[in-house]
Amino acid sequence: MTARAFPQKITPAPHAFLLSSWHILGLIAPVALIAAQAFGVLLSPPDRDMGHLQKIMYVHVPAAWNAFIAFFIVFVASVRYLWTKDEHHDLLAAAAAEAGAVLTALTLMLGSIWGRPTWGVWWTWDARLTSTAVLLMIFASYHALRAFTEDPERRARWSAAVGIFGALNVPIVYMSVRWWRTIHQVQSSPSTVDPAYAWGLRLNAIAVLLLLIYFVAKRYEIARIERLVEVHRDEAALRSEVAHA
Amino acid sequence: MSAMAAWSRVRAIAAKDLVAERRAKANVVAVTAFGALTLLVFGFAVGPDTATLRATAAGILWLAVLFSGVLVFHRSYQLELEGGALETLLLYPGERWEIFAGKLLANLCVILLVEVVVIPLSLVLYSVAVPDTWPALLSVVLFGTIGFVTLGTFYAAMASRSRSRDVLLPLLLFPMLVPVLLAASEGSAALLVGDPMGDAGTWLRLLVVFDVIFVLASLFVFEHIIEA
Amino acid sequence: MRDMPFVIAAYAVFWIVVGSYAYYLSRRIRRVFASLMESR
Repeated sequence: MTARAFPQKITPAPHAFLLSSWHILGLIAPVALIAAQAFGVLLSPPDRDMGHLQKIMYVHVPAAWNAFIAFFIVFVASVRYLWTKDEHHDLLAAAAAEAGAVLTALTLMLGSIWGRPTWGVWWTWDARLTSTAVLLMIFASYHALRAFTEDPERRARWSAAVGIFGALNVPIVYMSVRWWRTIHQVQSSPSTVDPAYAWGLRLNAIAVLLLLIYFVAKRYEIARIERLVEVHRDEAALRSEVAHA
Repeated sequence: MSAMAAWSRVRAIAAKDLVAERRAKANVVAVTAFGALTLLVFGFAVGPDTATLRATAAGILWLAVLFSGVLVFHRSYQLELEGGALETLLLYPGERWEIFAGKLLANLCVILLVEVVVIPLSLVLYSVAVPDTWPALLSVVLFGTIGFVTLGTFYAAMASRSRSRDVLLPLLLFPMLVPVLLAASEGSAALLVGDPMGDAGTWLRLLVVFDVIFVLASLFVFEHIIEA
Repeated sequence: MRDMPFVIAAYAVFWIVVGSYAYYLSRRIRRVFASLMESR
């Protein structure tokens, strides 16, 4: 019953125009990525300390930045959902959470690949990497909750709560892990990037952002259509009930 | 005075939950036993070397509290769900945040009761002497527990009503508790040796900030997640 | 230069993950569109 009552209007979406133009990003984003990565890999000199390993930063850091952007989208969409109870915000939050989880997992993998030749280990309890691991677990718990909650309206409300709380915690987690590392006086990771690499990073960050927008828009579209199918099926079921009555 | 009325409602809900908990004494006893068991089992995992045990005592203590404490939160909601009493509770006059506050207080009492046994036991098992800084240690325990119980009570409102609730609650809760676990373990560890570097103050401040943020957030958002 | 395998591995992992997710989304959108047509 709730599946029919809940969606106010599935189509058209409020920002239909913007959404319909996302398809083009499916071509632009990969091209931008290849161009930005080529720029970074071919045109930047090897680092004094890291050597060629520095090139991994061009994929690792933009993935990390965009994972946090995705989480920010989850936060804003969650707040807007609780404020307006408009289902579209919930679908957007879920889409951003999925893309965010993918980028977070990617960040961790790339951080590990960078860490192995640098520190000799596949994992260091470095503040940023550890905070990113916690972020991945928050995303995972968000998706687990959604998977285990059948009713769409309840799923939307609960996910919004989890999304908001998770977002509130991100800076706290980061600060506490950083302080924890400082206390134990372990060597810190090379933090600031040489200005020589700044442009490479920026270009790659923008390229990954385009990719993120593409992923979120596509996943949002999938979510919308899925809800539409659900609504149609419920209406058909109701009609056949009435017909047999 | 509406503040008085609100407080009396909060107290009433807390009292109701605590009476129910007292009638089912077996539950608190079982949870405490599990906490003790966790301490023992971790001791086996870490090995009998006294130095290692002392060094890891604070961290293991808090893990024992977390693992046993998670078992407490479902009961807050279980009784009402089974009896269908949640609908009635929601129909009573009063705000929904009062329900949360009442349950928070009740759970806090239960967890503190468990800690009264588990914490001294950990000092014994891990050969840690009671430090001079024990009052500060008690504050760390209190504020760490508040953070733990606040989020536990909040997430259990959702997890108890789901399929796979036993895995869902820890899955939702533990990533959120990372700051509490870090601050409480590190603060406790420092205080257990008299806090020579003066780090405990920072950790205590972090706990207080965490508690304020999430108590307020929970009070605000609770009405959106609770329903009949 | 001995670090190059790691650099190559990093870029490979990037494209494999991104490519797989893009592929997964394409499959899913096609499937869900088919069920939309069906449900109408």
